[in-house]
Amino acid sequence: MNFTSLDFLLFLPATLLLCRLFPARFRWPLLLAASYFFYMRYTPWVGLLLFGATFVSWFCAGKIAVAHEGDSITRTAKMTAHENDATCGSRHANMRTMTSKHSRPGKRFWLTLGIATPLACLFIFKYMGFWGQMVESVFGLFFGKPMDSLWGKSAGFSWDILLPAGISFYTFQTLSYVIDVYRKNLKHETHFGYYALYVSFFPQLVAGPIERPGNLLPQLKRENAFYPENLLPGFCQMLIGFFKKLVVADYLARFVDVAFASPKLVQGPGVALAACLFAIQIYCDFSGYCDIAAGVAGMLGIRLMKNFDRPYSAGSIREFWHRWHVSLTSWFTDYIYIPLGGSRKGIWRQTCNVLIVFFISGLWHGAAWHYVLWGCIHGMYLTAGILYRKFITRHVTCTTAGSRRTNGDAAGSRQTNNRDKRTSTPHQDDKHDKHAPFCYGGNVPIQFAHKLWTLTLVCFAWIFFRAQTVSDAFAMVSHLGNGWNANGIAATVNLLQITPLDVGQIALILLVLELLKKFGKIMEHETTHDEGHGTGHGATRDAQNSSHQTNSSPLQAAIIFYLILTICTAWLTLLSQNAAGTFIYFQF
Amino acid sequence: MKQKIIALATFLIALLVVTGLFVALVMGATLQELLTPLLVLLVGYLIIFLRQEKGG
Repeated sequence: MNFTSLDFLLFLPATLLLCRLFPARFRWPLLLAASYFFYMRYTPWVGLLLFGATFVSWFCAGKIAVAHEGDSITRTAKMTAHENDATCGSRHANMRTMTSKHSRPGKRFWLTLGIATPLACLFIFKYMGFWGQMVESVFGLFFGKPMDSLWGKSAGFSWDILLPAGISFYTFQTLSYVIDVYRKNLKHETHFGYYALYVSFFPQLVAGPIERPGNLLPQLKRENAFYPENLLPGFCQMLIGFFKKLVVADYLARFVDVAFASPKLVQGPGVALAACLFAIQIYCDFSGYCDIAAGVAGMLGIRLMKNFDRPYSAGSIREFWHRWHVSLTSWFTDYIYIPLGGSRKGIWRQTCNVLIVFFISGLWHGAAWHYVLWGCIHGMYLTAGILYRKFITRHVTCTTAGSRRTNGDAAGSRQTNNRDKRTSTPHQDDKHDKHAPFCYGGNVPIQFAHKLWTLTLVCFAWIFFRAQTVSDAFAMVSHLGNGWNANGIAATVNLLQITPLDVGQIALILLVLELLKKFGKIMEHETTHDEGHGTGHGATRDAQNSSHQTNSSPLQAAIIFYLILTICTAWLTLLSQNAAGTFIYFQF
Repeated sequence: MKQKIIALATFLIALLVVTGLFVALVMGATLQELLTPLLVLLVGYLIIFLRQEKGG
């Protein structure tokens, strides 16, 4: 089911009503049933896949937890018997060591199974076609003929299988659960229902955020979490999300689609404009989805992690990845980058690790080379940043940074001192410094120049992300320098069919987006305020009501009304034109 | 009193907007033609709201 479909308009109120009517102990089966219905609405068989991935990961994590318990019992027995060993000789000790050695592979076996099964599903459904085509082209390169006979089709390898929505997202959630249980960062959830709800919780099932079990599971298990006071802030967040998606992203898609559909015709100004508009489109599309998801979850009394934090105001690429798709970045950091060695094995190893992570990140986004290239471009940006910082710290005396560190970063360093230095990452090693660029002073024009430069680099990389193929992307990039004159601009305006009304509309949209950020912050503050009271189990209900009354005003109601009006207008118009697109990240 | 005036103004504007939208949709207006006046109103309201929040 899509958030922008008519079905969802009925589904959400029905779910909320049922959660309100039924006692708290029925909350998890209700939400679980609602989540599976949401997922299986259009393609029922994908529910089986979701259930299979859920069950296998839960089962394997359970076996790992049992093995952990066995280990701890063995260790305790070993410690208590240690004194006796001194008297009885080393024979018993050797036997116990053998026992513990035998338990270790068992744990690893379940870990491997728990990781390999969801990854195999992901590979079959998402990457099989890509892999087949790659093998075919390599075969053709070496043997001078395509593998048509082998595939049994004249048009080469094809894998016509439907990609289940959100498979990349819930696969990563199951993996993080199994790995966390293996690392003993998390206690195994013995109740399968709660775990199944954690994997399939419908607001974040299809396009994230990729929630960690440590954050979501305790909230799902909490009883009496549904408060009517959470409805308004959650609803407002949903409205902001719908505005971003239906009014902004779908509107901008019109120009972006035209530009990227004709990569050989579009000239320099067209490429630059299309890249900038796509940057806004994809941000509004994905962060709009996350806002809707957070709003729906907030209505149900569950707080999802923040996935976006004004990414285009980043002063460096590293900072950009602190702010863009935070759940995915932190997932890659914790489960790939740090196990690879992170930044603790020298600068060359660190750059290799960064490139590997971004190669996988690109591949995760889509089974196509242009996504891989996009990931590699970001990897190279970060690598260049790491090498540049290394060069600067060696050869330049950075007085401004030093003075800033002594002043502004004192608080941040206090926070990070407690963290293990060995686990620092290119994103995290100076996380406290993320709002201050490295070593280029703190004055506003320079910071602005860095932000503009970062935005330019990000927009450039988006060309590779949005293009249909790698050759299309290179064709567009090769045109980037052409047509920067009156004729080129006129040709771009003609190609993209931009009218003066569109220019005004885009300017207005940007203004509204900027203002909505502040409106969203106020509503977010209200959500946290309400949630804080909500966890108090009704003890401070009066205070909650009073705060609610003071915050709501006719003007706020008017804004909400106008948001609804603009969203409905855009939605109805898009529906009448059959132009309402699905969320971009649904395909990942 | 001030809040009541704002509420009344909102209602009247909303009535006008809804009527205008309905007429425009019947006459086959495009997305930009429909959204632009609404966005202008939304900008105005957001600015007033944020100023009020800042002041209050």
